[in-house]
Amino acid sequence: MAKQYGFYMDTERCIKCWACEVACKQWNGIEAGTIARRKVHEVESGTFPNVTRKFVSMSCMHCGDPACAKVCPAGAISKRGEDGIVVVDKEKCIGCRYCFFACPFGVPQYTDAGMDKCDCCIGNGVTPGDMPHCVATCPTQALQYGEMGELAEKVAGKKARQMADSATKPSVVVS
Amino acid sequence: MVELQTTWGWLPAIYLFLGGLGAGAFLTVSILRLAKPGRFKKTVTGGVWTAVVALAIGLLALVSEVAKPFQAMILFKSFVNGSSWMAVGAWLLFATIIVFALSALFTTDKIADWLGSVVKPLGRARDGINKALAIIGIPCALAVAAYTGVLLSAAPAIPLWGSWLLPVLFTVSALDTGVAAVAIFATVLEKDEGVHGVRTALEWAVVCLVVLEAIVLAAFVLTMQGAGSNEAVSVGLLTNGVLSVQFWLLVVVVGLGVPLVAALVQVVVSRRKGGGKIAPAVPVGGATCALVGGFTLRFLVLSAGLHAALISPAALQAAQNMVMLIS
Repeated sequence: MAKQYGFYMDTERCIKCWACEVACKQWNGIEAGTIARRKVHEVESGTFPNVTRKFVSMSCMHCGDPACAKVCPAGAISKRGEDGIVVVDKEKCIGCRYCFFACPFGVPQYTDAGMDKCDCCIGNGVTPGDMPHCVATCPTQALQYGEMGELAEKVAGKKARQMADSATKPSVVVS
Repeated sequence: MVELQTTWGWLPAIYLFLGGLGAGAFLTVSILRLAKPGRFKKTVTGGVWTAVVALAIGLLALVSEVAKPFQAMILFKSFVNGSSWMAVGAWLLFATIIVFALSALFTTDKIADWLGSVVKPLGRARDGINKALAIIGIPCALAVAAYTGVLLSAAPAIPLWGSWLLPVLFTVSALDTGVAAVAIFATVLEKDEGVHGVRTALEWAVVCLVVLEAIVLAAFVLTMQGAGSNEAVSVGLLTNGVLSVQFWLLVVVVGLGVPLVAALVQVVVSRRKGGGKIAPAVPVGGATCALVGGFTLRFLVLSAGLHAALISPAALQAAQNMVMLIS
């Protein structure tokens, strides 16, 4: 099987400091007040007095079988064979927003230049396979990055799951 | 409070309506033309030009909705992505508008005469060309009508659109609006003495199509209500949510009820002995109501097409389920 890089989100470690969101915006030169490629969500569970909350940092899932690429009429979205990163060619993008209707996670966002989403920082000079800036910035190592096989070994002792979506196979592990 | 779908605004709704209207009108006059060659000139000419103009305006609306219209012409450079219905549809629409436009040119007497005088063989072959274009145009028109629904139903993350009933519903509605547009021409402009029979045939077509559309619409709503919570939330916007007034009043009463009553009145009156006369306001009013209903249907289905991740944020929900599994 071809290599597939992905993210590992350790909810035990996340302190909701938003450093990943900020680093992502800074390094990718995203204008303030517009879009965010990465967002930290809060998941509440239980009822009072046994309420817990966990934090989950999410971006593009770089799916094994990306629905966005399948519907793109301009062929602007592609999955790289060498590392499984899903990338957008903004030159080709026509801005029809059809990919937003296809992605089960509502990831695609739009700027004047076209569709915008996480590319694991390869667009801002990070060598494919190296740590994206969100991961490098995370002060608690709650957000990690690596080849899916390595991530699976890393979480072997924990109760971890790969993000579940039967159709698209997201490359994200959460514990 | 659930927010409506706004990623695609009203321009695609106009395309969904006009594309269907054009396809339906072309189909109707093509059948009329093949059944009664050389007759009902005004109705046929009016219907064909309606098809061309409606489809052209619809395509302009579609192209102006995308952020980079000029970049969108990349779709015609090659078959860029065969798995995308939008790419397939772009080629289909391109081919269809050419067939429609050629048909309109050869149908209009003045233009066809001029073409015939410039290129002699074209003038002699005019009837054959018209017939051929009608025959090629019928499958094109059906495909265009169905494609308006396929475009939406091929978007997997929108629960409301994920049913094969949507293309069926849009196709039936397209035929319905097309027949309505042609009925207006047959009523207002047609001078041919046989027009009475055509109008009765059109009214019968309206009765059948309205009943069929009501059945498909009911099946669509019931399917969505039973399909899952996301689908139920979306369809609930139509049946008893913020869009319910428009849905029940404009789609069901104005779009289906009024045309049905108007058509039945005409059928009954025309059956009376002595060939009862009826004011043109009845067929024209019924047809106009059908057009209003057809447009509202497209607009509402588009607006109620909530993204699965917004109804119950999928990423969040998936994470939540996992958090529960592991804790």
